[in-house]
Amino acid sequence: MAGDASAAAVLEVRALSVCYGPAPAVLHGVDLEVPAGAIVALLGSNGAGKTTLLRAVTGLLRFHHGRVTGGAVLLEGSSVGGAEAPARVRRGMAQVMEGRRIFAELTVEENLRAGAITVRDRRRVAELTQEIFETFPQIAERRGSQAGYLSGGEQQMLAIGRALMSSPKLLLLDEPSLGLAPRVVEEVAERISAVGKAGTTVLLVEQNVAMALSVAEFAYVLAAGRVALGGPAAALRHDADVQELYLGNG
Amino acid sequence: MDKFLQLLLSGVALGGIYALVALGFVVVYKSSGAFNFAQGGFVTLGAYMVYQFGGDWGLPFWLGLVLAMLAMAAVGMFLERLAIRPMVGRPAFAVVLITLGLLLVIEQVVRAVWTMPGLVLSVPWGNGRSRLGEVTLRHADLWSMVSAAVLLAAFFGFFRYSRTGLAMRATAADQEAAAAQGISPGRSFAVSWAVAAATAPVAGVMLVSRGGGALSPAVGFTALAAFPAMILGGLDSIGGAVLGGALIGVAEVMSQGYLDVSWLGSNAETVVPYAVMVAVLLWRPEGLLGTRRVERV
Repeated sequence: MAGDASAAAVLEVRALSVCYGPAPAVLHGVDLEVPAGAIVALLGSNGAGKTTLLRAVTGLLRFHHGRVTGGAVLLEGSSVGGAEAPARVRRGMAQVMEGRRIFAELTVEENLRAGAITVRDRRRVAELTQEIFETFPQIAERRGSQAGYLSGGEQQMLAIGRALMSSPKLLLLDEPSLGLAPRVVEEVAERISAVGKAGTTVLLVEQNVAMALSVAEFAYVLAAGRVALGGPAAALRHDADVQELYLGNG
Repeated sequence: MDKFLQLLLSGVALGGIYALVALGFVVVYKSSGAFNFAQGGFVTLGAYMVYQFGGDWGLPFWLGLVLAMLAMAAVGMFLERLAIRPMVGRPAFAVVLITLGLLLVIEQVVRAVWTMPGLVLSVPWGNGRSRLGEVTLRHADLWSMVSAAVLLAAFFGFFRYSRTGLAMRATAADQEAAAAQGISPGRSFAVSWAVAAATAPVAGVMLVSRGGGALSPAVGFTALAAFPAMILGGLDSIGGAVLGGALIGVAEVMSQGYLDVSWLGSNAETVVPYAVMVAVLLWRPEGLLGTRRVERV
């Protein structure tokens, strides 16, 4: 599985436990590894703790009054500790949040520039913007319009483009297929594959298991806050449990 | 007609001052969603600081004004850090009550520090006036218009084109998503408080100069007439603050000039800004230029 100890992992999650306020823990000692250059999928049903795991990795837990009660998150071998989200972005993480969360009142181009807020050199920002527009031609045409007026698919492309603006080592995506038409889901999947091929390490959280397993090399299944299953994507595609629980051909 | 032009000029000048104060409200509201009553106190404190640097310590007026702006920026950041930041994530009304408390504290501090009554702020343009055809231009009005125009344009450019301005707008749109891009929401709050407080000495000087130069802790309460200007323009729109300021200023001065409301008691015209605000809100609840949320259905 992903834990080939010799390959350097970009992201390691060690025995991670998380709870929100006084409520019982949501994650119970989760172990997970994303090797350099790989696309790893994190599957699971609603409420399994997928988004919580992402928040713990990216430092957004505090926006939801959650806290890490045990374990560690390591980026390229060193712990992120209690660093705030912006500091983790500077260390090379970027994410596409669930529901896209683009800045609706800002223009498409301003959304991209906001994604490159950690890049100080203006010329570099202009180059990056150009690259993103070449990768996503459909949003290039809308560069001056308010992002809130884009279609759902275009907003998802913008959210992915915005995350790539910081040239991350690790890209985390939370349910990028949510609410999109099947044709657009395919396009999103293609983009994620392309990002992976370009050398960025990807952790993809999805409920759309078929889509996730089509782009990922490894996958984990999270159930009730624990890793229930993990292995190469090809093996999981043929796993009877996964088929029954998530692919609906049981 | 001359009277009309005369009043219009004076009204626009007053409107410029209101727009400056409203800018302070809008900047903080946009970044943190909190309505900052302490802005009125900033205006008072700022005016007294200019007096302190110039009138008391004898520094050149313009140097004193710049120093007061810097000092107020520091005061704004300090208060944000001390009293507002710990309230992030708490109900907005709690934050608003804290700013109301800050307003009262600042006013008390001003009374305690500058105890001498009858302080006069002297400005380089004094009581000067020029004739333009049939109309008299008070230099105080001219400077109000010029300083408001310069500061508003500078701020607009900063907000629209600078990296920090972009970070502030992103924070205003979605704090969590902004943090996910590497923007520190706390830093955006600090900058917005600094900017809001830095504009206050200018507004304070212009208000005091307009009233003949007499300093009083009540300056801040006059400045709160910018409150309807802000609501009128739309809470989150800088263009709206300018438009609302101009409308309220002109309405106030015109009603002083044309309406005989003395039977309502003295100073009845001070109610006019609020009356205009209520009328506009009945017609457009989001204000003249305020945003209705951008949303695809």
